[in-house]
Amino acid sequence: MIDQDSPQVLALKERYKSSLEEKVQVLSDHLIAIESEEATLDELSELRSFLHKLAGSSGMYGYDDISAASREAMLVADQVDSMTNLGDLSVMTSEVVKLLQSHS
Amino acid sequence: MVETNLQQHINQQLFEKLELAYFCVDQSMRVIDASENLESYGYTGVITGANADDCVDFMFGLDAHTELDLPLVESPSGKKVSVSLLPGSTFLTVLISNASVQADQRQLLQQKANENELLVEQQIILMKQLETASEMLEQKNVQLEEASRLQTSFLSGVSHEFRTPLTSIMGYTNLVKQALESASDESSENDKVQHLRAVQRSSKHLLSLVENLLDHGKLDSDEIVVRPKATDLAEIFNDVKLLLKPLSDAKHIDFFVELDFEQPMMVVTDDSRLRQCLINLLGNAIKFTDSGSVRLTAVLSNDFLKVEVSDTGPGISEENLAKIKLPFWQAADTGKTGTGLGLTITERIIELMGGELEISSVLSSGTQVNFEIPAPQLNATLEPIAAVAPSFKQAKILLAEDDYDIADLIVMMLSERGYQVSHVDNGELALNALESQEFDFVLMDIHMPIMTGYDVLAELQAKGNTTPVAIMSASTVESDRAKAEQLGCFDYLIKPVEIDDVIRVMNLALEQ
Amino acid sequence: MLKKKICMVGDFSVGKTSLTQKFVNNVFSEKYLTTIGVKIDTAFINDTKLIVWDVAGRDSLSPINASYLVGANGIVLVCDGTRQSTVRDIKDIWQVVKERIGEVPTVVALNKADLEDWHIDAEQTAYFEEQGWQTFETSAKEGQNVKALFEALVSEIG
Ligand SMILES: Nc1nc2c(ncn2[C@@H]2O[C@H](COP(=O)(O)OP(=O)(O)O)[C@@H](O)[C@H]2O)c(=O)[nH]1
Ligand SMILES: [Mg+2]
Repeated sequence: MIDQDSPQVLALKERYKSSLEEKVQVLSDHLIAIESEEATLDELSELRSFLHKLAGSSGMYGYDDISAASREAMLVADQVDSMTNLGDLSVMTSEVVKLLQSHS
Repeated sequence: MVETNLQQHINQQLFEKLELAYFCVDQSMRVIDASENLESYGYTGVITGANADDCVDFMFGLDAHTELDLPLVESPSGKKVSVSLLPGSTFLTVLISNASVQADQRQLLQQKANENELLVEQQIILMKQLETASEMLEQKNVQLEEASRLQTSFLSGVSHEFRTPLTSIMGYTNLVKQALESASDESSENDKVQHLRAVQRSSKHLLSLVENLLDHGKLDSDEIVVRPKATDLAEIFNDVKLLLKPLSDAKHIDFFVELDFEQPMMVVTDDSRLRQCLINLLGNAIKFTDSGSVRLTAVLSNDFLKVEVSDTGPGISEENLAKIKLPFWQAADTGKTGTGLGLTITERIIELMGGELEISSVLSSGTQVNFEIPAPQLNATLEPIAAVAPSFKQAKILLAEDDYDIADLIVMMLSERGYQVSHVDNGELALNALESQEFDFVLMDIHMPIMTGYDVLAELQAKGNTTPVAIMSASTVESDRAKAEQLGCFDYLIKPVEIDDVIRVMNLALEQ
Repeated sequence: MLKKKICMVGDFSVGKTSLTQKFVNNVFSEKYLTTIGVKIDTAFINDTKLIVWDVAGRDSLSPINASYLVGANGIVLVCDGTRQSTVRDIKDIWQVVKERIGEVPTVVALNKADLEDWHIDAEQTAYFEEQGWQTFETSAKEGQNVKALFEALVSEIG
């Protein structure tokens, strides 16, 4: 039974941690994109797929809060049916951004 | 004689001027005399010998001895007449005179007066309705003021409650920062780790407060979701204990935690929701208890988790027990700060977890809150990788995953455990690899470029390839799982996946 | 032939004229025309000829003219179910009746039962029960209980 992370795994975790800042940037860009006047459903689906990935990867690296928040945001994104009604999604996505910032 | 003639003449004139008509009846009310002009009022058949009440309706019920004035009677002709009954010693005279002028005047006056009075009555009723309406508005206003008072005190409660964990986070973070910056670094590594753990715990506390707030918005819309998964129960309780101990210490009250199960204890439950509930209940208990103790007991038996939080606080009156589960309630009215949302939300979560929150209390001796929720214990086969059969370790595994963060970690962890892992980053490559090489097990993401996981599954099914495939997806939507299972996947793991889960599923697949 | 004199009494505008006209001629008018003095109509119930005195209502200007009541065999007290005051006033009116002709058979019509803003409950009509009067919720407009009201009075008179 391996209960201690190996140096390699630790290195991967370190790598992931340092990627959080970049993820903040990407996610913020997505957020600006969907909040702009001429946002399209394509932009929404890009954001959704980013959140989807983030929910999976952050959880595996031990960031349960980020994982949970991005999953919630993803579920909200699924509910969005027009670009005029993004209130919750923006809020939830900003939450994820904040969490990412707090860990990076 | 002249006199009589004159008298008669005057009488005649008077009769004509007043359109006076008359008839006389005897003691038995039979007509003995009648003027001719009675017919002009519509009274016909008033002839000698007739029964008065047979030819004149108003005569019925009257007798020959009573003097009576009947003003303004509507006669059969439609004209209003005045009737006078003048009894004499042997007969009764009934005088009828035209009163239509008088009646018309009265009619005008009376009509106006009555209509006026009806209007006044109507007005009074309207005024009353207005009064009730304004009273109701007044009441509404009071309610609104009350609501806004509650909101305000709620807001100040929130900021107060957030301050505790935030202060702790800032404090510990500073300690770590100083330690890192100081060249001498007197504090040991262990201290730093301890500090960071404290930061983490406070963050979780903060998170659960935020969750309370967010959940409150969801209370009505049934949006709170519970996601059970394999969890170590003991870890939850220990975390909560460490988190709240400083609060009870600060108030100099005892905080006992009694767990009646082994550690670790793997069960299926939503750990973050359970944490949230425990923090809410214990937080309340500590907040309201100024001396004595707060006790948390947890018993796991027959796959049910029984939890009780009891305190020696001031207790809750019966009247307030009814109100206590309402949102915002305590924050506003007990002089204690807080969001006042915890209990409302906890009740809802416990309900969703299949239990019921019960509160009992005796004023000035304390409060007990308890609940019981299903928490099925995981059996030994699901235990971590200690049970891995060494023979499987040489298994060849294909990992299809486009996210390198995830792929690299899984590859690393599996290789460390002795598995041979090949990694591809899209569905097409995965299919190619499976065509050119033999694999014992495939671990595949759903959302990949070029070909999705579903496409690959469909192709494999069409080709009759029976290599077991476990799907990994962040989607908890049931239809996604169903789709994957229909396409023949061996298991559906929800991201984030635990490496132990991957290995467990793999072993199951390889055993077959 | 059996004859009975009946008097319709009550506050103004409660529907005395309307009830009488509905009963006698089966007509109804929404228009309000104050009755001045008295109008006498006749109708039959079986073999009994009813002589119905539709007496001008009591109002702020004038009390009931009790002369009209002399010789009456029965009284119909009429009040308006949408105006509570007309129910209260029955007591006074009854006093006038009693003083002039004594306690004759009496029934009560709570009229305008077809209207929505009905304000009468058991508490207000308790007095009628004490007096042993049969009470009917009537509508001159729709004819509800109009016949029953007069039939009941005739059988009370006996
Ligand atoms: N809706 C309704 N209106 C009525 C009823 N009886 C009388 N009225 C109305 O009430 C007003 C007064 O009626 P009237 O018979 O003249 O009252 P009176 O002064 O007691 O003779 C008139 O406008 C009638 O149309 C009834 O049963 N229902
Ligand atoms: Mg009238």
